[in-house]
Amino acid sequence: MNTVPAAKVAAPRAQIPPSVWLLRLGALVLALVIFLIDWLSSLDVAIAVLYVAVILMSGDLFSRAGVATVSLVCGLLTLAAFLFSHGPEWLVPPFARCLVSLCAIAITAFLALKNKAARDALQEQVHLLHRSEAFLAGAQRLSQTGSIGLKMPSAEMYWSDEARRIFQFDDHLQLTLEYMIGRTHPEDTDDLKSLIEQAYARHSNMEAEFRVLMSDGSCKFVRMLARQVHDASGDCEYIGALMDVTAAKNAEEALHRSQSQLAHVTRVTTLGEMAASIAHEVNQPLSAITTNAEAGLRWLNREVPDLGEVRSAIERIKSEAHRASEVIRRIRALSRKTDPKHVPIDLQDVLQESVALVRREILRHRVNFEFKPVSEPMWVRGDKVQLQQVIINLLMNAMQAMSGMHGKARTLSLVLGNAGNGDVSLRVQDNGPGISVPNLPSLFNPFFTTKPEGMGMGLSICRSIIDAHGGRIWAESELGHGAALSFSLPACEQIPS
Amino acid sequence: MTTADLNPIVFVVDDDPSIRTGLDSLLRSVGMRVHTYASGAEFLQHPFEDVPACLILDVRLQGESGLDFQVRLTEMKVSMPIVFVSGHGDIAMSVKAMKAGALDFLVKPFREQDLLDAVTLALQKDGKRREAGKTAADLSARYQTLTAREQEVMAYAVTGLMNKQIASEMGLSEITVKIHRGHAMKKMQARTFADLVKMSQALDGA
Repeated sequence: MNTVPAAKVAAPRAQIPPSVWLLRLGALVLALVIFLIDWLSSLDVAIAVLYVAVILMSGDLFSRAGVATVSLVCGLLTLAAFLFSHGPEWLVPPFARCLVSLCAIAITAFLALKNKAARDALQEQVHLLHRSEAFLAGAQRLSQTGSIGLKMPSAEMYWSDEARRIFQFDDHLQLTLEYMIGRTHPEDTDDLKSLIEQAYARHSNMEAEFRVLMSDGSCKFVRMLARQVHDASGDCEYIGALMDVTAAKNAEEALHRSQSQLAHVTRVTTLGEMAASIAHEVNQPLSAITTNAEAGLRWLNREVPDLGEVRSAIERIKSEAHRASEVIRRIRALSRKTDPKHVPIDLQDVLQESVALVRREILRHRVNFEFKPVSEPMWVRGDKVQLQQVIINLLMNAMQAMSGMHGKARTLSLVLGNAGNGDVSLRVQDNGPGISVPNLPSLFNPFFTTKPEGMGMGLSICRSIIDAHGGRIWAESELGHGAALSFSLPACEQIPS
Repeated sequence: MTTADLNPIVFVVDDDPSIRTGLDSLLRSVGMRVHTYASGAEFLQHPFEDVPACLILDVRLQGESGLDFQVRLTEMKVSMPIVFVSGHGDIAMSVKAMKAGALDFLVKPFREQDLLDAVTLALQKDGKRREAGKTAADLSARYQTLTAREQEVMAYAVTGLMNKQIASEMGLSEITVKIHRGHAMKKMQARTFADLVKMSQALDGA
């Protein structure tokens, strides 16, 4: 590995501007002039005190060591001038003047050095501050998070560079709340305004997510968090962060979209598996319709038409037609490709509709179906079609698990109720062969299947649907004694009108 | 009262109530007596009437399937003609049903006329079967009224032996054989000797 040349590692020496060299020369000349006057003139004053000026000048021109050296040189020059002009004559007034000058030089040197140290420390602080500012700007840029300050009630604002970049504001523009509201997506403007007003009125913090409409028509999702602080004068200011969450939001939406597409595909697959049963479900009322129609005609064509019988035959035709269309409506609802809508629904309704769809499958598998309806509605917030899909999947799995069972009555029992924590729960229990312990944890993993023709998506989709509803799904089983799959959903307090 | 005076009856076993009601109305509209049941077990709980009858049976029933029930009926020696109806008939299923003696196999939705034809045919068949059964039973009862000697004389007579030959075979006088023969003809209600031969054949076949 190459070693980095030392010269490149060492911090480059700060370039000293020519003006400093000029001033240094000036200081040297001044010192020489003072020395010459001190030595050659016969004035009875302490000329050497003027060295103070040289030391003060050096404070700006040299480092601390330099200042110390200059002070020392000035002291030596004073002593030299005294020795050259007076010789070794002690205890005479010139010596006293020399001492005064030396004291003045020493005191000045001390003060200059102290001042220099304080200035150096300040310089260091400024340097650190600049560096941390640079760090912050870099971090803001990377995390697409900007800072904002909002003074209330004046509505003056401070925007960091990144915050400006997110909103695409010019650097020099003096920004106010008006500008920010102006950039907000028209549909979110009112919400944002009322949020700021409410936060200000209640002295609470702000937390909002809104869209920003750019001049090119593109849209950004911004998340804002701001904390209220009070300055010394009692003015209120919101200090906070703005985060561009567009990418995360888009990814989340794409994930939702693909999840709902996958859910749709598996729904349709399940319907395919139930095709024979569904055909029977539609065929049955159609068959009843033709039989009743034929019967009605025959009652009508008798020598003495029996209108009572005709009427009841027609009434039966009507209700059977309704029954057939109801079956078709349920299937269409299940196969329709719509975005999930979370609304308050009674889970018992969803359950009964699902059971109606698989009723034939239950008969076909010769399964004893046990379910005790509950008297009170079980309100949850959710998407009916998706919850139906989960229930149908659990029912179909349970029936398929029991299909290889002979010589023992097949029992499928459903228990709808309230879990301990107030959640609404549904338990689907079969008495089939059960699930082996090693298989239990992977049951909800994608592509995990124990069926020869299984895709392994059913339960995985169930879990993502239940997760999206804020609930949980789990399996319990004892090998040889059947399996129970349950899910729970948060109860919905609000009862729809 | 003879069987002809009795109104035949059609039994319907289907687990779908609307299909039951529809069939009930249809069959009544052509003047048939109908009884409907939701399952085979329910059907068996009711006593049978001694009249021509047939059974319309759904293949797919909750619990015991129609095909299983057909086997059970055969085991119980209930020989009522069965017309199967099915929501979706596959060939294997219908072959199985027909082999087990079903009269017809109709797939829903079927033409009502087909069903009525099948039912009519089934009732006719059952009527004939009962008639035949009735004749055989009568004949057997009459035969039982004959004395051992008369039965013996009848057995020889129907093989074509002359009275004289029968007398020598049995070691009786010809006149005694003639008297036994006359009694046998009378008791068997045979108008001619040819009738008696036919009756004897029917008895052997039974």
